[in-house]
Amino acid sequence: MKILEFLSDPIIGIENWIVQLLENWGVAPEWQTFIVYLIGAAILGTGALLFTLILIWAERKIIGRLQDRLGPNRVGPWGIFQPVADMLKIFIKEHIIPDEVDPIPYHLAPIISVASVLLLWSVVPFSDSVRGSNLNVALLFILGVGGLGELGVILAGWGSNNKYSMLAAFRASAQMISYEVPMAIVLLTSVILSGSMALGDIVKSQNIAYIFFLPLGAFIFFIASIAENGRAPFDLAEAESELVAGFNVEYSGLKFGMFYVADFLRAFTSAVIFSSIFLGGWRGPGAEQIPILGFVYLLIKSVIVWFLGVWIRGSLPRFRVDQMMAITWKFLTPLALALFIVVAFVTKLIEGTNQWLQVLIFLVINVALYVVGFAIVRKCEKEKERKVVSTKKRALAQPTNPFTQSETGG
Amino acid sequence: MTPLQIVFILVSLVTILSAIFVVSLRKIFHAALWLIVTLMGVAIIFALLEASFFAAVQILVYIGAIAIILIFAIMLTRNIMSDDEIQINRSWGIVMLLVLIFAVIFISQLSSSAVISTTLVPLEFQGQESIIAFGEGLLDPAGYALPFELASLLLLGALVGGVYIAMDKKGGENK
Repeated sequence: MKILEFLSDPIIGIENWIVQLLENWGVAPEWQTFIVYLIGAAILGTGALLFTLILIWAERKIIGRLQDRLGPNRVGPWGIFQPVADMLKIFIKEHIIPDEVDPIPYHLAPIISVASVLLLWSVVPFSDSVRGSNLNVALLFILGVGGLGELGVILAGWGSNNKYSMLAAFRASAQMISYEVPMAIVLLTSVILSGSMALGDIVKSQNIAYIFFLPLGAFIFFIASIAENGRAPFDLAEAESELVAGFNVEYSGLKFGMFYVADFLRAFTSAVIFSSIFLGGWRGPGAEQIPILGFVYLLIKSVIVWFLGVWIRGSLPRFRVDQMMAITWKFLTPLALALFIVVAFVTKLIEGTNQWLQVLIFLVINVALYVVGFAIVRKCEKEKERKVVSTKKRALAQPTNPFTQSETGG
Repeated sequence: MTPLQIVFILVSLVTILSAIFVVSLRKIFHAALWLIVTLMGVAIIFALLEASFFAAVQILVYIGAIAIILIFAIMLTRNIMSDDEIQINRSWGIVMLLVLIFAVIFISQLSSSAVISTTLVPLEFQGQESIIAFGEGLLDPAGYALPFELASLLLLGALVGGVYIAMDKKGGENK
């Protein structure tokens, strides 16, 4: 029975064992917590970074299939060891530092990029008992750490002493600041529903996952988090055709590898946060009795959300800069604000009624808001005057060309 | 010494040093970066005092918004790639003297007052309670409702002013 008990919650078991061990060695209690947290943080960070290897392989494989290619298929079965080979290659590559870089920002930027992603993992609840910290302002923390990621991009762009990376940094910071607004407002609506800013409490209060209460909120959050991560179709900061490679042009070897890892890990991390806030995180049948199941549920939910992101990345072309700005300021932000106000009122109005009734009311409100918002956008788009982009009308070689339909040709 | 004390000493040293760098470095962009380190240090000190809300808001507002916009402004407005100005002028010696005198008076007065010698009591709030108490205090008419509303009014005024400045004047290109 002992072994089953251990297997149902191995991490707490190991933690208790280490605490016991330290106590036998005569370590003071506050140092015990310090050491245990230090070990936990080291394991979590390393685990997350190693997990990225699988993520990179899976993403390349999926994108390959979406684009009708095979993807990596040479190293190991199904190319599984491709990221390991890539990693080794990146480790032994020459590290070139261009002339006249600004040394501190240049060297600091990749570290900040990776650190800002790993920091997010400290507030995610993995099961009923296992989490880094049930920080009582976890949602604010998530937004604040997002700002640190921004800083990494700006530092890289500035420090490289290259006009392309500078332009990319401008684009990236404009994009990230803008998309943080709807994201923050949507996070506030989930705070209204749960009455708590701690991620652990938000997960616990989801007897019914919040995606049924706030499908529109989840939609806005999902789009905003893709844009925050700077992935296609919002990868304006890495537009190869316009900016060579974006803010990381001047980076090579391991430093480029760090940006690369941060990019892939951030996609999965925001999927984890999405599933914690909207899909009920570790909750699922039997997860409270057997905490290890919580990991499995969280992993499954996150992988589904992450796959959606990869799917979008493989299917949609990049937005223009003005389109990217219009999406957040003219569509997502007003919609999020309207949703926030309505949810704040309605939650108080129907407090204490049947939970399924509440879900129904919220669903209707969300769908109605979406339809109204979309109708307004469509109407504005129709009324907008469009310049006709074309060349002057000129004599055609064959005036009765069956393919020429408009007056201006083409 | 407990781990908390060690962290506190390290963080406050870093905060003070980086604050000195902010006002003494020659490149204004580097000064802005050191300002971020200073703000981060203040956030960590808030966290050590168990004021997690203030720590998070410090990071979110000061680093996530204000510092980034500051850097943005520096990048956009001046030709800083070649900017190499000294931040201090000729009267720095006398200013240092005045600051020193002020600091001596300030510290000697503070250290004899009762405020500095009170030991800190840990909060009895659990989890969300501290934030809920904070929110109620802000919106309670007997608490800080008036200053809170006044601050929001001020921000609204700033917002309207900003929109007015950015708006196209009559006879501009659009309209």
